Amino acid sequence: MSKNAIVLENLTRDFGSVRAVDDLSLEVPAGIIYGFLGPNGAGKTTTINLLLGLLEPTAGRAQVLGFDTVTSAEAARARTGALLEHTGVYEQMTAEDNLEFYGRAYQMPALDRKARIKELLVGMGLWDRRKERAGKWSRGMKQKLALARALLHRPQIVLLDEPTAGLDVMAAKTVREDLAALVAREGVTVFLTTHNMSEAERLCSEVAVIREGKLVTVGHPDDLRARAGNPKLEVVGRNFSEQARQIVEAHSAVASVSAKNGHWDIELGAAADSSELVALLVAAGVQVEEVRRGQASLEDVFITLMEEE
Amino acid sequence: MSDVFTMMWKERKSMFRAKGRKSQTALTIIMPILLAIYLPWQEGVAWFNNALSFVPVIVIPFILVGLTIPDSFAGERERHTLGTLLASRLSDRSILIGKIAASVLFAWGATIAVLLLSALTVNVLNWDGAVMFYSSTVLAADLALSLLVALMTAGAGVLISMRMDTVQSAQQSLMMILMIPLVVVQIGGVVILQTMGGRGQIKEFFASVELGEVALIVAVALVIIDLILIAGAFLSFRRARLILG
Repeated sequence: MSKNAIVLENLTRDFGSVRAVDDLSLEVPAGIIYGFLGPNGAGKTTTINLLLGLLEPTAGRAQVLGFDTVTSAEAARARTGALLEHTGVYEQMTAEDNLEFYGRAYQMPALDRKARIKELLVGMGLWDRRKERAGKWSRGMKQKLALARALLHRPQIVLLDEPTAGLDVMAAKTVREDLAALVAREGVTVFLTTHNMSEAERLCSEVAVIREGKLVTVGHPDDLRARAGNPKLEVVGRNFSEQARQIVEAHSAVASVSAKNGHWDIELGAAADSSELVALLVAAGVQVEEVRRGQASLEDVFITLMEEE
Repeated sequence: MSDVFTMMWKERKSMFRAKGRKSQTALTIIMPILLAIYLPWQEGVAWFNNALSFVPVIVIPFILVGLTIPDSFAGERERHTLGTLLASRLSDRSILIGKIAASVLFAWGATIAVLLLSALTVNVLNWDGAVMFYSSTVLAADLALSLLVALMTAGAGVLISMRMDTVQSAQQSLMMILMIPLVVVQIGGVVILQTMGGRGQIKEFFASVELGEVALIVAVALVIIDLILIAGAFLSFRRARLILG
C-alpha cells in the first residue's frame, strides 16, 4: 500500500450556488484512524460521497488507494468499506442475510464469507440474534451490524460518517470500542467524520477540521491542543480569597486566573512548576482538595477554530 | 453475471417484506389464483385455443411487476439503504439488471404457474379421459407476451422509481402511465361491443382471430417499447442523481 491511503487535491464540489467542499487538499496516511471534524453542514458527508465516487467533483480530484474516484471509482469502491449517514441495513432481512448479501456483492468465497460473518457477529455480540430481522433491533445494534458490514470484505479503507450519531452513551461506547478493536486487529485505514470531539480525541491519530467546506487545520490531536493555548491548572478547594488570587497572579509562571463554581482555572506559562503554585495557594490560606493539570481539550480547540472568522 | 444473481438474491429476500405491504402480498397471491380458475372455468376447452388466455398473460405480469418494481429504487431511498448499495462495488449494470430481472422473473414465473393451473382447471372440469393442453402457438404466444409485458412494466417502473422519493408515489405514477393503454383497450372494447352487437360476437371474434399473427404483431411492438424503456433506464442510471434524489 502507498504511504497515503487518501489524497485530496484542491477538491471542490458545488451544489448550484452553494460550495459544499472548497479547494480541499489533504493526505491521509495509511493504517491510522483519521478524524474529519466539522460542524453540521461543513461538507463532511459530501467529502465522503466524493471519496466513494458517488458524486463527481466540480474541480480538483480525489484518490483512494491510488485510484482516481472519477475514472476508477469501481476499483476504489471494491477496496473500501462504508458506513454512511444512515446505517443502510435492510430491516426486512435478517442480520445474517444483510451480511450475506454484501459478502456476495464483494465476491467473497462462500466458506470465507460464512466464517467472516461469524467472526464479526461473535465479536460484536450479535451472533445469537443473527436470524432475527434487523428491523426489530435497537439503533445501536443496527449501527454495529452496519459496522460489521463495512468491515466484512476486509477493506483497506473504511469510511465512517458519524458512526455514533444518535446513539445513547452506552451504545456509542460499545460501537467505539468495537471500532477500535477491529481497527487494531485488522490494520485498516479509517476515515471518520464526526462532530463529537471526545470521540475524535479517543480514537483518532490525526484530525482535520473543516468549516464551510474549507480546511481549517490538520494535525495530531495533542498538537492541536498544544497549539490552542498554554497548559492549565485546575484547583478544587475552599477558602479561595482575593488575596490568594493576587499572590498567584503575581507569579511569573501564571498567565491568568479565573474562578468557576468553587474551583480556579489557572492558565500557566510554558514552563511552570505547579507544585510551587500549590504551595503558594496553601500559604495564602486556600484549602486545596484536588489539583488537575491539563491542556485545552480538542473541544476547546474546535470551538476556538469555529469562532475564528 | 454473478453480481446480477447477487442482486436478484437480495431482491428475492426482501420482496414484499417491507412494512405495510401485506395487502399487496395478499393481492399477488389471490389475483392469479382467481384468474387461473374463473376464466378457464367460463371458457371450457376453448381456453386452450383462443385469445382469452392472453388476459392473464397480460394482466398478471402487469400487476405483479407494477407492485414490485416501484420498490426497486424508491423503496431503497425511502428506507435509506440506497446510499450504502451504491457505495458498494456492484456496477450500475448489475444493480439495474438484477432489480429488473428479479421483478420480471417473479411475475413471469407466476404467469406460467397460472397458465398451468388454468390448464389443470379446464382438465378437471372437462375431463374426457385425455389430457388437454395449449396449442403450441398459443403457448409460445403466452410465454413471449407475458415476458414482454413484464419487461415493459419493469422498464417504465425503474425509470419512475429512480426519480421518486417513496414507493407509494412511484406506484401511483407507474399505474397512471400504464393505465393509458388499458383505457385505450377498454374504450376500444366498448366500441367493438357496440359495433359487433354483444358478448357472443366478441367471443366469436376472439375465436376467429389468427392468433399467431396477432401475437407476432403485438410481440414486435412490445419488443420495441421494451428496448426503448430499458435503454432509457440504463441512460438514466447515474449514482450522483440517485444519491441526490
